[in-house]
Amino acid sequence: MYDFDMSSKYKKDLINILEMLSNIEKDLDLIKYNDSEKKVYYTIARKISSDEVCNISDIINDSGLSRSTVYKSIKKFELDNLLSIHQSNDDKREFNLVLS
Amino acid sequence: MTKHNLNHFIKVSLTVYIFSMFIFSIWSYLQYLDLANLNPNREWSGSLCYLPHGSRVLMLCFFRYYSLPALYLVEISGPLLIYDEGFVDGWSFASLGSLASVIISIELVRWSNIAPGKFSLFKPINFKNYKYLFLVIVISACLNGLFANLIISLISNSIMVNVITVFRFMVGDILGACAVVLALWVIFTTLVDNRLVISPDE
Repeated sequence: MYDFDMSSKYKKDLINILEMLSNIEKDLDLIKYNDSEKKVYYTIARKISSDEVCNISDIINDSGLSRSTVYKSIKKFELDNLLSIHQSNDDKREFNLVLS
Repeated sequence: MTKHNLNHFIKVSLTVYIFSMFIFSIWSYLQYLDLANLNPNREWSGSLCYLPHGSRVLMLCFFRYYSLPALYLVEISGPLLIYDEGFVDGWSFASLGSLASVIISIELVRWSNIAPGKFSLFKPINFKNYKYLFLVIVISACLNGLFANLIISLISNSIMVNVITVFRFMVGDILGACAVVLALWVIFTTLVDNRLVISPDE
């Protein structure tokens, strides 16, 4: 049977192309958010699109990132007006995130 | 050639052929539409944004000489199967000049001591640094303008190649190659960003 697994050499060549493209982005500094921040943002967007509500605890659980990283990222998004934070009606200790 | 190398060669050839034909199809369609209306009556030959040069450079830089047979096949089968307007008789020979221009550019970049240590044809260059890729694009575009037009003028006595045509080839190759890299950058960085969403269920 023919081996359909990608050989390591072939895979490495493809990864090199992706890394070159990613280096363009890094050098041009077009995106000011780092990978963790982007992950937090996408996790929020995904949670809102699936459950319609999203609180900070959900993001900590779903992203697998530390509490402080998530809080720092959310604070940065809030300062950039990408989202707003509202106290939950059900649980006063929780804060819901709403994308702008 | 070992079984492993043959396996790699087949995968590279298929990837290069499909990718390059795809780029050629897009370029042909845009050329056919002539969106910018730069050459409505086909008054001059060449393209001011020749996308296939981007696939030549990218494939040769990253898959090295394994990609050569597939690239040459694209140079012949592209005009034959998809779009032959603007391609003069003897293009199959002129395209050898185009491929040679990319190979010479890659070797020049290698020789310029970007890869540390002694010069060797087999030493890989790290094209993860896109600046080297851009250098290859510019050098190969200049050489391609000269080589391809020189071969065409030698083969076909009826075609008069002037300096403006050579310059048009250079500009078209540089802009086309940059457009391909730019398009891939937009497509793949978006995909990589989206991959950052990791479902807890996965």
